[in-house]
Amino acid sequence: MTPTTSSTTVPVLELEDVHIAYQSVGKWHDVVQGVSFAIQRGQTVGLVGESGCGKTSTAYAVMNYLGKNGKQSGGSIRFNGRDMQSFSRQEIRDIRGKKMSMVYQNPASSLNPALRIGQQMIEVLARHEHLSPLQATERALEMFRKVRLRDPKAIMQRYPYQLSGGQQQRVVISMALVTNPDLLIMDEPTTGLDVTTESAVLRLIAELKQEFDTAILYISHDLRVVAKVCDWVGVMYAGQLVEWGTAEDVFNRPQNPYTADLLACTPSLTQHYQSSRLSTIEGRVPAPHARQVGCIYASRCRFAQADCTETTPMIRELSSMPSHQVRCWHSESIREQLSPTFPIQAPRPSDKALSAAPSNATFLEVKGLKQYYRASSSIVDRVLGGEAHSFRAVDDLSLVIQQGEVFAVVGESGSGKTTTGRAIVGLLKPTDGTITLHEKSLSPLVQHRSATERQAIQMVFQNPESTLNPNHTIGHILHRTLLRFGITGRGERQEKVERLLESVRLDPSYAYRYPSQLSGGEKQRVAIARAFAGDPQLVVCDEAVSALDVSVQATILNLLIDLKEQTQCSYLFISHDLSVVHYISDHIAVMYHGQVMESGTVDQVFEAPHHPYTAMLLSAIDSTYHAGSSTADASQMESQADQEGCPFHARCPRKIKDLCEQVAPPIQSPTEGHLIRCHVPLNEL
Amino acid sequence: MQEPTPTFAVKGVSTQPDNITQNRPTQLSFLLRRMLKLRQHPAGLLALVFIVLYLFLAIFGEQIAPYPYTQQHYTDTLKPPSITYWFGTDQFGRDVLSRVIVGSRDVLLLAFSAISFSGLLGLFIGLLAGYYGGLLDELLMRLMDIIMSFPALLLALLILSVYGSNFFNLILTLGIVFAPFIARVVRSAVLDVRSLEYIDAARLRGEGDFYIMTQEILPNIIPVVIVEFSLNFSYTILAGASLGFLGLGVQPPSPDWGLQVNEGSLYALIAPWVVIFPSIAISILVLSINVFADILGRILVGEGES
Repeated sequence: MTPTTSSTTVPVLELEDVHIAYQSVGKWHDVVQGVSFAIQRGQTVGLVGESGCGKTSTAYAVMNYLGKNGKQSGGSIRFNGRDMQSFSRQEIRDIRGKKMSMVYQNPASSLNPALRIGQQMIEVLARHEHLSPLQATERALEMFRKVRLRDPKAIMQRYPYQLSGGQQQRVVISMALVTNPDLLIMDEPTTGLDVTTESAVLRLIAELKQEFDTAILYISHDLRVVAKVCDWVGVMYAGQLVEWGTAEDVFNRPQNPYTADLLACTPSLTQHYQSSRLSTIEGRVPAPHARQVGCIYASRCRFAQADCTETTPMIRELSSMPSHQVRCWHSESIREQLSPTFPIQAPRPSDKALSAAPSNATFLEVKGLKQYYRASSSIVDRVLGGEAHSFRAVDDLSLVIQQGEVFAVVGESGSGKTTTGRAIVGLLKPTDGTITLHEKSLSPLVQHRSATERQAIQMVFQNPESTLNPNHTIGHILHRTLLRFGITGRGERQEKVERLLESVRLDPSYAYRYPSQLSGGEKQRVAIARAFAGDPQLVVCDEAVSALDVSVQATILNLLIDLKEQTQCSYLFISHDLSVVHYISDHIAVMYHGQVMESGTVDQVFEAPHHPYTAMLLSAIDSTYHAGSSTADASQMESQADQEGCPFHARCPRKIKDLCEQVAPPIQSPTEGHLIRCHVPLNEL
Repeated sequence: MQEPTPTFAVKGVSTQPDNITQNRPTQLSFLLRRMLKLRQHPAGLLALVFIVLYLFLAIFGEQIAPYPYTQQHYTDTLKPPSITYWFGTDQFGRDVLSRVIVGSRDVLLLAFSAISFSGLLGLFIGLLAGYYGGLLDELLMRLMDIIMSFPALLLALLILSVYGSNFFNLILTLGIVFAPFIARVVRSAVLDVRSLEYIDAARLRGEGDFYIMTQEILPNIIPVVIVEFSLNFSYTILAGASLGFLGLGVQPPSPDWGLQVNEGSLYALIAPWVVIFPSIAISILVLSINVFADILGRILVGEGES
């Protein structure tokens, strides 16, 4: 616990019973209902919860950014003891960017693409600190050094697009901190970043906390991340703060069923689909105008009792845990069952796990897959004979997928995972390589494959918002898919559509709905139903759960496992999220720059010996925090040239000079089926 | 204009799915529902009122006009506006009001035919170029660039003076001149949609190019097409009037407004009403369509969801 809580200093930010309302078609709905908390100087407060729970709205209200159709409809927000409502517009403009600043999810859209980084930084300093360009440059360089950007002078001269995502986010953070604000609001600052970059940015935030005396409000849906950086955590659900306490208490001793359920949804590195299912939260967050009397979580709560729906619980302090607040009538009585030491897992008979084990029949094999892109394709450039820059998205990749197994491909963005998946389903024509299904070679492009081959390999896409055509009803989409797969009878199709919807736990009435009437998770279920319409043998899931909230993610993962057991199909599961991959996969291939660096079964990959790159990925998700661990940040990497050596050498902490740069690493095999592509001797890995 | 809309509550779509199942909306009703947002834009409503008025005049012009538009009152040439001739008369003693009213038919008919042709052509080219990409895209779009590099009016004059001016040629000419603008917008809209995942999904179930273009892509770019169509409609009216003024448009004795301005220009100093009223008619029509198209764009494309 931080000592400042008991001291009498005025908190930097204090929210008292804040209500925020949004207008929709003439009516105001309270989106945030009575949020109270305070942040002291030097503290980091996290707000967590599923999307649509009011986290970002709260942050916007603090920044006074709500816009025309939003307003603070009650309560008070005090900044350094003064009510925000009493500030004039001019004062608010002066405060924003100087006394309080904000870092957003997408760093690329926070930077002006037309101005050099240096100019943008100097602009901030000139506006708020009234520094001359020379002084401002000095300050900017100093600041860039503080956020551990290499070669700040060069960074100043670059345009945003010339920086990697991690570098951009560092620049944005440094811009937010350069005026030494009293309050820094970070809204999902690492959500769009790779795991290794994320861990580097989080480490940076932790270091900066000690250097600056800034109060930080950290918003994230990712509990793991919040646990790493925050001192205090507020859990939000449907516009209400349902739990508040120190990060340690909230994550280890949750007192509210929602917090406990949310924690249980996140797959941990100890879970595997063959032994346990993920626990889920039934139902969905109620819409602002559909909220009822009583506890707002009652309809989804495992412990709901009669009185929960009768009277609305207030947030209250617990007698046993002072300074811990919770909004629940029954915290004391259900405490034992909430403890995460008793994981709530849907029980599954263990003998079934054996029957689900993959058979050894190889049915899909990828050999020597290569995908090179030329940088320029304009006819004018071609005529003028510009240099043909080729980029190797996938470089000589081979893999074997067996019947009934889940084969996961992991790696950072740009590692060629998606390209591999798209080449297998036939959405792009690889430069070279063969794909064989049941020892029969497949045409590279899907339109040249036979109907049965098409049916055999299907795909579930990443973005639920664009996976379904907004102009077609769910029924039409499924009907059309079945029709293309040769089911011509209308009645037969109708029946099959209903069965498909039921198999993804959707009511048959969904056939009449349009995608815009579905939530993200429901859309993804329809996408899964569509992929399963033709009884596929392999379903490529390209980041299929990445865009979903944890509770929804857990349901979709469970669904995928159920379907796999029913149909004995295989998955090629592409993901950047190692805990999800650990949970769902049988075999894993770790990709870097278009090559498989390590492959093997889950246990082989997750246990030593590791390839240095795998080790780096694993240390990035490690929830305990090692300062100065060897995680190199993806943003620091050099651009890859067409080199002969190991593609990873520029970032590798175990690099053997010259050897790694010039000679392609050998493939070593510590145990049967486990392959590591590295120069470092196995016993040292 | 912020009135509650209980029956057509668009907001309910994503939040209360349970009530929606009964009244399943079609593509058209989605478009119409969006159009209801027009109520929040008084300028757009006013523009719409004017457009409807012009349409009404175009259809019933000859019935409404006080005199037949060709009737010549030999004793009343170049008379200023009066009770008898509200807008005055021209050099042949024809009633300007009647000619302006009936003229809306010729103007709208020409512009509408031309823009429809141009819209279809642009849609076709834009779809092909955007969907197939590559060499076909380059060829088609460079061709469009060539057409666009000529000033629109000059190109139209060139074609019409070579092939002669008649109604059919006028439609073809204006259609070709304005097609590149629509093609470009359609192409970029197609490029946006083409890369979406539901197009990949359609390909994975083995749909052909034609199906994907017409069933998967086209419905999603309709709002963009409608807006672009409306915007170019007003340009077509202007171009048609300009051609009329230059004598290469609709031929006499048509009461085309451009033609009227041309014919009246000789007397513009002594009888300005012959020129002024048709000009005002063009301005109001073009302004109305522009304002309407602009607001349509905001409703259908700009504010889209949310």
